[in-house]
Amino acid sequence: MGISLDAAHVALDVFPSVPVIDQDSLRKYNEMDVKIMDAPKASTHLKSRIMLGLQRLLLSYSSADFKARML
Amino acid sequence: MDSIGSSHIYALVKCSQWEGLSFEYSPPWIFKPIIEEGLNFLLKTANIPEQSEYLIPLPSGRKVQVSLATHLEIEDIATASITKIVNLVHQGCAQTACITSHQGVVIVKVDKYSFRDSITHTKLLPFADEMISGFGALIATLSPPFSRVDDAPPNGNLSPELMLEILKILLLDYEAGFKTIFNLSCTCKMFYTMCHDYMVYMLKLLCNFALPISPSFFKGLDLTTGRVQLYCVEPFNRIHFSRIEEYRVFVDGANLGLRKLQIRAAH
Repeated sequence: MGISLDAAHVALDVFPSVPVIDQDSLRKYNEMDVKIMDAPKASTHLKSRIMLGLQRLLLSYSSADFKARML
Repeated sequence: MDSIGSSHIYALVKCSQWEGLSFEYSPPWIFKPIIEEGLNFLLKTANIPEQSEYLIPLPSGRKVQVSLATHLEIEDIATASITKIVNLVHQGCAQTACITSHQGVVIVKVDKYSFRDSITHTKLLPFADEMISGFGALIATLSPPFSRVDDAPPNGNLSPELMLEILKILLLDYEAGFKTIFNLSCTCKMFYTMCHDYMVYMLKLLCNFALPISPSFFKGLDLTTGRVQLYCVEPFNRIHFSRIEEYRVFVDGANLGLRKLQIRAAH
């Protein structure tokens, strides 16, 4: 028998709403002398490999909710 | 961003910070555990910062700002977040920041040292792309490979590149090199201390040890000619030789008018 859950038990706001864009910030950004740089890349060192592995592990053990937000 | 979201980002940041990681031997499991204890522990028990901005210290003493955000894939929101970082940096300061959301990270570098402010930033580097550019950027920013060496003041004539070559040769020499590294590292620290304790600098670099031939003779380097030679030092005795150099003696920077120290180059 299907029962409708009360709104208090339903997580309707799992995904955060879009924040209000501060127009003043956009204007200030356009006034600044800004350069776009390349993405810094992790070195091929052992330390980086371990940390990349940790990050992947974290992602694989994260909740479905978190993974859904990343995509 | 909600607390679960900020916990995940914090865990991601901590996994990108080498200095915060430590390793302990764990014997192999007979039965494979269902969950990873460490990451679970990190997510459930770590003291997660409640603020949307926090600082991550680097080994060099600098700090990288982590700023939590959402919807960075919308260009105007990313732009507003970058401006917010720029506004937080005081004049005469520089700051690197990682604006992080679930989707990815934007690396921002603000330099307000110079006459004209310098602001550079990346595009949104996603976590979920094939190149894992977001993950790599976080590691490169929070764990720069040579942060200590890069920030070390230039000492002597040996460049970091040359020292690195020596280090590589030692490391790649399978056994003897590895055994030497530890000794060399300790020795360098000890050597630095010894140089301060056992050398005397007075426009010449003199060895603190007297030679066996006489308690007055010391070996030294003339920094003007580059010649290594013997010097006769008779502290404050009035000796009358040619080629004598005299030095005034200061105490805490003050010339107390003491008799001059005389040094003679021996031939």
